[in-house]
Amino acid sequence: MSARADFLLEIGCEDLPTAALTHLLGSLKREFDASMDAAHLSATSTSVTLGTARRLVLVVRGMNALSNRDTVITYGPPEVAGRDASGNWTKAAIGFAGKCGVAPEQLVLLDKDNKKVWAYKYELPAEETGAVLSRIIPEVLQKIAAEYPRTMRWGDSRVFAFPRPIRWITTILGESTVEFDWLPLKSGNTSYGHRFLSPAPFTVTSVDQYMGELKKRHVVLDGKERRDLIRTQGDLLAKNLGLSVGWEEELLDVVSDQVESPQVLIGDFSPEYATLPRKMIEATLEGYQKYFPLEDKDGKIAPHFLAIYDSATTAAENVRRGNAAALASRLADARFFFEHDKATGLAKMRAATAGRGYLPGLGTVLDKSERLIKLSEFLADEVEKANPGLMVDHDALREAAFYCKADLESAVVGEKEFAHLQGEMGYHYALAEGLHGTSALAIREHYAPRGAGDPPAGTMEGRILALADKLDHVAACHIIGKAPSGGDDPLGVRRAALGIIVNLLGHNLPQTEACGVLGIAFSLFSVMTHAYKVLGRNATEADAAVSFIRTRFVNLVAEQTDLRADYLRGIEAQHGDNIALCYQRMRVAWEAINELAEWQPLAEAAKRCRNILDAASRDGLIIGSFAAEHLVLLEEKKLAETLASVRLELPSDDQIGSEMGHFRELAALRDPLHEFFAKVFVMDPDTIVRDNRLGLLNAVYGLLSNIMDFSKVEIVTKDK
Amino acid sequence: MLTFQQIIQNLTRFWTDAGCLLMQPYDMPKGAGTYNPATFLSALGPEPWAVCFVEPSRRPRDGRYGENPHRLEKHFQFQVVIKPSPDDILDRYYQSLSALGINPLEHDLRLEEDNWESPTLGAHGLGWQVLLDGVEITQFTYFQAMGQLPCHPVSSEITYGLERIAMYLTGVSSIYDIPWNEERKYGEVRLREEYEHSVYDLDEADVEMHRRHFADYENEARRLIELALVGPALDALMLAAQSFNLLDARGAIGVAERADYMSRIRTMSRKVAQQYVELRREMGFPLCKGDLPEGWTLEKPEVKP
Repeated sequence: MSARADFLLEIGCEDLPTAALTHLLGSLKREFDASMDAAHLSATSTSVTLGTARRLVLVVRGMNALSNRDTVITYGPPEVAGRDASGNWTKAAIGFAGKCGVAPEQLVLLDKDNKKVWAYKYELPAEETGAVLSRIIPEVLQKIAAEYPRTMRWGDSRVFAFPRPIRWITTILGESTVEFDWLPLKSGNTSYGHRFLSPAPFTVTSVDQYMGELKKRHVVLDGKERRDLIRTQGDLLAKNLGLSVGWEEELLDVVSDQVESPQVLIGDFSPEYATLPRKMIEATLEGYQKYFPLEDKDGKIAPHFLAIYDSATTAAENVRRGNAAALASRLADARFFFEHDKATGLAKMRAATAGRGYLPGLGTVLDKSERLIKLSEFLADEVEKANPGLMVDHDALREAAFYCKADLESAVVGEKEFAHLQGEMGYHYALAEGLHGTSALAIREHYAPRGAGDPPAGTMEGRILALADKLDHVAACHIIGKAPSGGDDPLGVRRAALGIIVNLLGHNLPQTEACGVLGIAFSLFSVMTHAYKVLGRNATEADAAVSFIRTRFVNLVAEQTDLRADYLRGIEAQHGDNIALCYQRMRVAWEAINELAEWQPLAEAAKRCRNILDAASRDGLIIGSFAAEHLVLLEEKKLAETLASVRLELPSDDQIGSEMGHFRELAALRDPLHEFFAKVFVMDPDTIVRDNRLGLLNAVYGLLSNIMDFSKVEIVTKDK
Repeated sequence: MLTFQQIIQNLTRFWTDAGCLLMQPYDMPKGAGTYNPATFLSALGPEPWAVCFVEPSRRPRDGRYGENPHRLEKHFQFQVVIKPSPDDILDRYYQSLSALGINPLEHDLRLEEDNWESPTLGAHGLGWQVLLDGVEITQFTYFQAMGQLPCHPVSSEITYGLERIAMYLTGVSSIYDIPWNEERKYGEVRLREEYEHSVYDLDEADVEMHRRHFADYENEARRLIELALVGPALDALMLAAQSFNLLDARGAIGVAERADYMSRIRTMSRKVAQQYVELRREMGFPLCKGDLPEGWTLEKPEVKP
């Protein structure tokens, strides 16, 4: 009879932080599964890990009673290297046998890759599962501890480290304990329920009994179940009051992992605080107190909060009172800071930015805001030039640029939990001072996009200021030599470059319409050189910053669309200075290329043209134009004729849409080019013929390169 | 309902019954009980230790002229340090709350991750802030390093925020309304002091004098370390650190300068810590009573050139 048994491992801990819990449940499963495999253990189902802040639990259902038998072979030196001429074992053979822990006489000759080699072969016996587990569990625990970046020691153990102290280890396999030592800890069969609601220990007799006891003893073991309980209870409570809960997913993860027996309550705060900016109230509730905000039917924030607790429901009154008191003091602080800031005023705050360094060697934040006034003015002019009829509110833009960094010196933004409200607070202070609404919005929006996947600024003035802010940052970081090269980007230069692209093109590239969200079509090089000028630098240094942004641009298009990366690089190399238009060209080119079967062969032929021309230039040959009378072979004449028939002007910027037709025309070059390369030897000994052929290819390539820089195209190898 | 002084009395009774030595506040201004030699020095080395004491802690930047009901320039911590950290230290902590009349079944007690770090003491630890119904009442830390030396055995440090606990238990909404005893309120005892010290810390402290004092005490600490006078060296360190805190509160220190000051205090902390361990080693780690934990010897470790 093949007896199967359920297995349980419970590691009782002092309260684990959410991040540690999540990490450990993943690594425990992964390492345990790997060790089970390596030790030839098997079961009817795969392992499952569950847990709370106080316990990590692993369950395997239906473990086989014995590990699987196996033949283990270790290969050693080749046959000839095993014995010397007189038949004695060589050093190599003795060494190998020693490593396997046997005498050389126990080695056998086996085939490996059609060669005879010395090998050690043995039968791994089947072993009691319990014995194997007691060996592998300490190793697994050691591994998951070592994998976690932030472990600690406790008590007097010098070697032992884990994310938080371990207080007990419980195991059961079938109905017996798997015993092992992991000094100073020892596995046992005693477990505990909820710390306060059920403090007495209990004996574990089977996996099912354990699960039943936990339920009785007020522990909800499954994190998802705790989350769902909180959500369901919370939604119900809110609904009864005609409210809805602003669930913040990350926060929900955190609080549901802090409790074993989740309970939910709704408390109140004084409606006088409802006059605070909504984001401040939310940050106070969520950031400081880990409560969830509530909304009324009109979508307004309600003077209530939703909190989680981990105690008897009879505690609800005390908990509500305490939570409300804690929140009241936070909100009082928040209002104090807010009123203090309004009394200070933006002008004073702005003046104080003179004491705040921006980047080493690049002055203060006040200097930066002075630059933003100039740079945004320049950008506004460029936008108006590129979009006839469009009017930017220059006065509002100037006012916004003037004050946009002032709130960095506000008391509110100076608080850790409110630091992310930069811009948002400036908006409220601007409104409180009666500044133009457009200015206030631009101050708020100039940090857009705030995070990955977030939208660009919503107003024209906001976008221009956001662009100025980021262009200045990318330029500044290049000037002080802090452009990121590896993975690290402590100054957020990549984020700034991405912000430029998003404010030009939108945050969802596949949906971007002609010329991006702004309708801005301007040269990156021109605006970047202006940014350098405003920084008091030589405009010729701007190249590196421009190409930094252009590289981010191609990468972003490659990530967000299915356009082929080598074509994207080719088009970018040719047209990338104006990324809004360049993106349009990419879209059109992609459509054309998908439609025209002959495109890839043509692209590869174009690349070949380019290679030949580059090689000739490297050899010092002067490439000029070609003359019909020097064309010798039929194939070159044919190519010249086709060239004459397709010669079209490259569509101008406002006709990019018509590029489609251009592609079709160019496709006619494919066959003549292929014939040409098949029959014509360019580097003819007759230098006149040679130079004429180079001239012809140059003319062909000159036309094709309007599409892209073909040196970036990768040759696609056809399946054999 | 417990008064402020009854809370101190009950905690003192609880932890002395649990075997802790009762110490008194150390007679030097300091930012936290961690600077007290009974914490900073005793957390170093192999010798077992268990102590509790009240520590007045000065935070010049938190001064609010006595006008803010939640913030103080000086507040009182009740400090419990036990080395090595006992296996049941959390259970004991919860029992200590019962001694304050806090029944866990009538409240929500939550341990929220809070990893402590003191850049000036070159110290860090892992632990939690303890929330009682959403109010932070305790900092709980397992010291991992002190004076940049790894802590072994590890000490557990429990720091009760006495005013927070008193406010919560008495239900008052201002610190100054806490009943100190049946007769006097916290404000009657301390409000004027808060006002005066806030004025001093934020407006009046002599910046040039404190710059000089910092430099002088730094030199003094260096000299005393050479003389193996660990206690006086730590005193000099505390005085330098207090001058730094005052300069900081006066807004007299720029960002780069701030990092420099902190690194100088950290250097002093490291030297004091090293000197303390070597001194105790020469004395034969007397509190170990001959039973040294794994990894410790009485041999002076070789100093790398």
